[in-house]
Amino acid sequence: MKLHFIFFLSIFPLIYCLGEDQPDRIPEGYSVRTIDTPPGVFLGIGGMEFSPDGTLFVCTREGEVWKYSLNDGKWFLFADGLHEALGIWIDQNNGEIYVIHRPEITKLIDSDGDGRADLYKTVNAGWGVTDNYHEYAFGLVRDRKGNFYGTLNTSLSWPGWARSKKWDIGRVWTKEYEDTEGKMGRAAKYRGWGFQVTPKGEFIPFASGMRSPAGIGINKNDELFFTDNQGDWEGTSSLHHIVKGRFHGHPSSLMDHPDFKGKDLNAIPIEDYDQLRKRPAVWIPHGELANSPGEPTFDYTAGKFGPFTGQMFIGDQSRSNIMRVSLDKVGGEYQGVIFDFINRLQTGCIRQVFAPDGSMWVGQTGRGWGSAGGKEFGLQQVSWDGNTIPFSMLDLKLTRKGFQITFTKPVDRKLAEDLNNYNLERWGYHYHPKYGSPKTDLKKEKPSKVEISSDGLKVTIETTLETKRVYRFNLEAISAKDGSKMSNTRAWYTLNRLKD
Amino acid sequence: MRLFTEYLLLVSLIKKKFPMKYFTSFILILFFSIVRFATAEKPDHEIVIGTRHGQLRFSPEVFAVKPDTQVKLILDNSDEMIHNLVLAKGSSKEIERLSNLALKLGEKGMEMGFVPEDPSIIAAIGLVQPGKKASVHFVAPLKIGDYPFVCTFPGHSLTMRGVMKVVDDPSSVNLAEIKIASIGTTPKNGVLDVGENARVVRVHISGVDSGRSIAVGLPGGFNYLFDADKLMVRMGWTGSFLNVSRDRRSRGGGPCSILGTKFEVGSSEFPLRVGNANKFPIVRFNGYSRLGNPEFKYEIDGVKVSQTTTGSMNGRGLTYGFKVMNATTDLYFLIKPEGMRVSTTAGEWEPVSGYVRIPASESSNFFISVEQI
Repeated sequence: MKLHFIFFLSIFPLIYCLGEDQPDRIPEGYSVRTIDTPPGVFLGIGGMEFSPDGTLFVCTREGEVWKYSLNDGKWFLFADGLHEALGIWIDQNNGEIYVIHRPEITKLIDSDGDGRADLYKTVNAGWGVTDNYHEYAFGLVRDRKGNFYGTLNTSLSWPGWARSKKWDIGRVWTKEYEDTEGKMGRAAKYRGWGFQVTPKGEFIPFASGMRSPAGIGINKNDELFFTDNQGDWEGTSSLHHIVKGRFHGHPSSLMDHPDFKGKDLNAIPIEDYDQLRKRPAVWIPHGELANSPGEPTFDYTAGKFGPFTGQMFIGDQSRSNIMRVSLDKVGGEYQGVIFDFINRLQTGCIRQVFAPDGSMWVGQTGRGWGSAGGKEFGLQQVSWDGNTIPFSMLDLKLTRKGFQITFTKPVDRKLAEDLNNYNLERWGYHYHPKYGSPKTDLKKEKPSKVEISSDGLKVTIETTLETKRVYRFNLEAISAKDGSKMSNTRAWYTLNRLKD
Repeated sequence: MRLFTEYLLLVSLIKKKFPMKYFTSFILILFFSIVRFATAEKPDHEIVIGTRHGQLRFSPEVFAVKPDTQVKLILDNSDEMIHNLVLAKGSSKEIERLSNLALKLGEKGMEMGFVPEDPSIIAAIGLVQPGKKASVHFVAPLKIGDYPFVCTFPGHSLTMRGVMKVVDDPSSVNLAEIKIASIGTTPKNGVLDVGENARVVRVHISGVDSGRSIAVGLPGGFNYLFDADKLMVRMGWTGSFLNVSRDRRSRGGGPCSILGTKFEVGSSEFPLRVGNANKFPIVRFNGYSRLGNPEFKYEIDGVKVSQTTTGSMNGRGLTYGFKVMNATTDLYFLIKPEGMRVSTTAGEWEPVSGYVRIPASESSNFFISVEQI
């Protein structure tokens, strides 16, 4: 067994090195360019933002902030000595620069005008942090009222890996399960929380139940979303809609919840946590789509990045792919569909930002977590040619009796009419203290009816609907009227609520 | 601030009594060098090696001589720290071994100029005070090749190294192209250097239970660890700065190690207190400035404080510089008195109580020096 594992490890880089710099799946009309990073510098990207003058700022796991000029391709070190900087936010009016790193949110000021930060001003350090290596602080977004938001990783509760003496605090397994060591805990205050920092600098614990919330995003309406990584209490990776007061499922954070003060979290039955939690808006199936999702980024390029305006893009640190999400508000709550978009870039994708020209810049890091693609870090630019419409599922929404799929181009009616061409499956996930979950209650489904709109762009199917399930479609047999094939044929819809 | 540091340096130099045992060896060395110089022919090569101010580097780091020639090597120490130079046979591993031997000399180190006795040594220049020069004559080896040199003063050997190239035609060697140690932002083998400007680096340090430690490395080889949670300097060390490899490799976040020689500073949690020495204050850390010497800014019970820290010249102490805005009551700076020598420019050091009491009227700008005895 061990030998097999070693053999696998040794051929793993080889498998992934074969494709060089180009992804193995990308929609027609899109291309990828690899950006040269500063020579001799380890640039494990943890955050990216454009300044008002169009300069790209990149903050890194190595604690540095670099400026990249798109005009001449030159790099310049702006700040250093930060502690694993995993988010940056730049004010588009005045150019003020804020980063989030393990200990705090810091405003970086270049007061003498030499192009380099010299004042490192602490904006907020309202959360607890120990020397536990897993206590990442992720961010950074700000709403129109001037509130900052970020997410705080739980502490690793695993002797030997967590150096802190406080490694076993806040580990929750409940009475029904054996206390295994592979869990997250809470070695310091507000681990596992999403927080708000008001314009006056007040720290407000905002939402709890996060495990490894590696990315936070905000839409035009100041609605907040974060992704979480599969693990204990997280059957699979997921996307959540953050609302103040919500509990997202991982109980360690409840140690800092006023309603749970002094309570034994292990004495509370799982059913109670299950009642209390807000289910993820979108499940991101582990192993087949993503293993460690990063930042959710909305496409507000008004068509400069192709036909997906208003949708969300999420990178994955492990599979080095970019996914696309279309949210569906049903009964006042978000759920929705996730598609693969670009598969296997050069290394793990954790951050995206849209440039003024509408191209998507992908910040990458692979160090220590095993990313497909094999490189340890990198920066790539994804551009749309401005012209080619790839044949793709544009959207997939719930109807009262099934689903409606919208395509970017008219479908081949004959293929779309065939009920066998949807390969529908549905399943659930356990909610338990164990690490991850297999698919539960897996069922194959054949739509009972299909209707195609007269323009050939919409297909409505009827099928059995069951809540707390993810529905997977595989449309590889369906091509466009003009004969073109889809580059990504699968879609995963998370069904939490039915339409009235 | 700079003036104050120089003043401290001057005082410490004047105060330092020159022990007789040093005097005897000094005379002996002087005697032999005169004899040597008188009998030596005019050297074939005269090489001056300088020290870069505040950088713990030699300059130049490479020189070339012909085999079997007379060499006069001069160490011109323009740095503000003491240095030596040891030239040896072998690889860079050899100079690491010699540096360790020097470290093991312990108390005898100062007396022996941190030059260990070892057959691999070709020539050595003992300790050279700041602003002074010293030289050594030797015959270059017969064998063509590279010969490393190093400063074996504790904590200096990691960056203060160079190479003597023995070649038939020294003019053919392009010295500018050879780089011995490069100062960059990306650590080499995990070692983070301090260049011409101070470095301020957030880091977990082995054995320090804090998630908000900030390591500061000043040019000149003085370093300290500031804890932004407890607003205290945890420790000081001289020599090279940090090994951050455990923070930068694999998943990272690991505890890093200080390099060089550590010393204790006797500080307690929240050492600066307002009005009452026995009460934990309500604090707020506001960040730091990197314009010049790094300056930490924080609030203690609403009183604004800025703090700089510099090293003292014997390498086992530090001097705090405090600027306090609008204090209306006395301040206290807590120091654990065991093994510490304390002096202050304001108020009194009260070792029994374990604090320096600073009257509000003198608190706008004051300095406290702490030395490990």
